[in-house]
Amino acid sequence: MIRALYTAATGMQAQQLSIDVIANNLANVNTIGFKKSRADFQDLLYQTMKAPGAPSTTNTQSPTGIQVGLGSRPAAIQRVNTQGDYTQTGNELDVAVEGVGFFQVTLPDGSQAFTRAGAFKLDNQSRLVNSDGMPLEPSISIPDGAIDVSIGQDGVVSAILPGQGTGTQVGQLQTARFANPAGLRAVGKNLLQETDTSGPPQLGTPGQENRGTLLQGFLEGSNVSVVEELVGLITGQRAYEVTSKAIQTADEMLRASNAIVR
Amino acid sequence: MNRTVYTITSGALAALARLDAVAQNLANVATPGYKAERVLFRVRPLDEGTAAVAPSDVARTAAQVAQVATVRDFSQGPVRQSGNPLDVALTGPGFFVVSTPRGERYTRQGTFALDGEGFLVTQGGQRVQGDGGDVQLPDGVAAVGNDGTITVNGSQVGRIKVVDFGEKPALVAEGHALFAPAPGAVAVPLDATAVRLEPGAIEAANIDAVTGLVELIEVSRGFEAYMQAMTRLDQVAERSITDIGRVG
Repeated sequence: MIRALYTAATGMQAQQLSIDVIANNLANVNTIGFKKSRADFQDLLYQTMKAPGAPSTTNTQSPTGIQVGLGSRPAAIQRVNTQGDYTQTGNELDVAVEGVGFFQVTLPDGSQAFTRAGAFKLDNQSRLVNSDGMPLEPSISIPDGAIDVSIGQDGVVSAILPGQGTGTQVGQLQTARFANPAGLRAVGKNLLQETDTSGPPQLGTPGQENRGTLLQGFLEGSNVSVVEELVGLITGQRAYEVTSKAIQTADEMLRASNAIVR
Repeated sequence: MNRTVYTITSGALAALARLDAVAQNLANVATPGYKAERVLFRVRPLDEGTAAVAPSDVARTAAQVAQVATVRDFSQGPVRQSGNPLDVALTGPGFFVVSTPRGERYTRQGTFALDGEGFLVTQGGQRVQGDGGDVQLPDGVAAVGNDGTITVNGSQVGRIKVVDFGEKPALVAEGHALFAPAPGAVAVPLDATAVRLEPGAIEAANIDAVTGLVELIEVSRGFEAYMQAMTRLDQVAERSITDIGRVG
C-alpha cells in the first residue's frame, strides 16, 4: 500500500523537474545563444519478490519472477545543441557562429568560459568584450578611431584606419570545439565551462577542422521552440495529474481498509 | 474463523499488487524506452500443497488469488522527434547493448551522448556497444543511419549493435532503463537489414495514461468491495455469536 504512494510520488517529482526545465527554456526564449535543455528520466530500482528462474516446482522455473518497480528518477538534464535562428542586427560587432564552435572569454578570476552569444562590445581599452565586459581570448583590440571593422568568415578582424583606404588586420577570432559539447557546465550569463566529460577545448580558426564559420552583423537566437515547449508543458502537467491520481487511489484504499474496523 | 475471510484478503492483496504496478507505470510515463509492467495472478485452491489429502470440493470453492509473475509488455512505444542527432529510437524489434560492470545489459532508451573521450554512452554513462565493442567517435559531425550505421563527417566509423530476443524476451528490469538477461535468454544480433532505427527521435514509454486511470478506478472500487465484504462477513459472525448464542 505505502509502496504505491511513494512510487507515484517519484513520478510527480519527475514531472515537476520536467516543468522546471521547460520553464527555464521558455524564460530564455529571447536569450542570445541559449541552448534549450531536456530532462531525461529512467525507471528506479526494482524490488524482487521472486527471482526470475526461481524453481516453481522441482522441474519448472518461474520465467519472469515477481518484481515491483519503485518509480522513476531523473537521469540527466541534457542540453540540446542544435542551431538557433539567426537575426540580422546590422551591428558590426555582432557575430554568429554558423555550425560548431564557441567563443572563448576570460573570466575575472582568470579562468576560461565559452559562449555562443556573439554580441560583442568594446571596453575602455578598446578590447572586444562580451556583454558582461569579459574580454575575448585571444584578446583583440580595435585601434582608436577605426572607421570600419569587418570580421571575416574565418575570424580575421580588420579595421580601416583614418587616412587609409584599405583594411588592416588587427586580430584573429578563434572558436573552440569540444568532443562532447553537451557535457559543458552552464554557469549562467550565457557562459559554459569545460568539464571532464566535455573534453578539453580545441581552439582554432573558424571554418577549419569542422569549426563553423562566422557571420558578421548577425546574432544567434535561442533554439527554443515555443510550440514544442508548450506541448511539453501540457504533457508534463497531465502526467503529473495522472500520477497524483495513483496517490489518491492509494489513499482511498487505505481509507476503505480503515473502515472495516468499526 | 470462516475461511472466506482469507479469500477476501487474497483479493485485496492482489488489488494492492495491481496498484503498485499501475503506480510504477504512471510514474514512468515520461521515461523514454520504458516498457509497461503487469502482474499475473492465478487461482490457488485452499488445499494446495496438501497433496496427500484428496482435493475437497469445499476447498475448491473457497479458493484464493495468488500473484505468480510480473510480466512486461515489450510492445513498441510511440516515437517522437527530438532534433538531437544522438537520440536514436528503435522502431522495430530489438534492444541496444550497453556494457556495465555487471556484464552486458539491454535497453530501448536510445538517448545517447558522447563522453569526454568521444565514447558513445547512455545517460547513465554506460558505453553503448557497436559491432566491435565500445564505440569511440573521432572528432566531427556525427550522424546515425536507419540501420544503426554511425558516420562522422560522411565516413563510416561503426554500427550500433542491436540484439533481439524473439517474441517474448526473457529479460528482467533492473532499473535505470536497463534490462538484464533472465536465465535462458539468447541475444541474437540483428544485421543491418533487420534493424529499424529512427535517428533524432525518442521512443516514449508504451503507457496509455487513460488505460492506467481506468485500471486505477477498477482497482480502487474492487478493493472497496473486498472491504465491504469483509465488513458484512464480520456482521454475520457477530449475529451468529450474539443471536444464535442467546440463551432464553
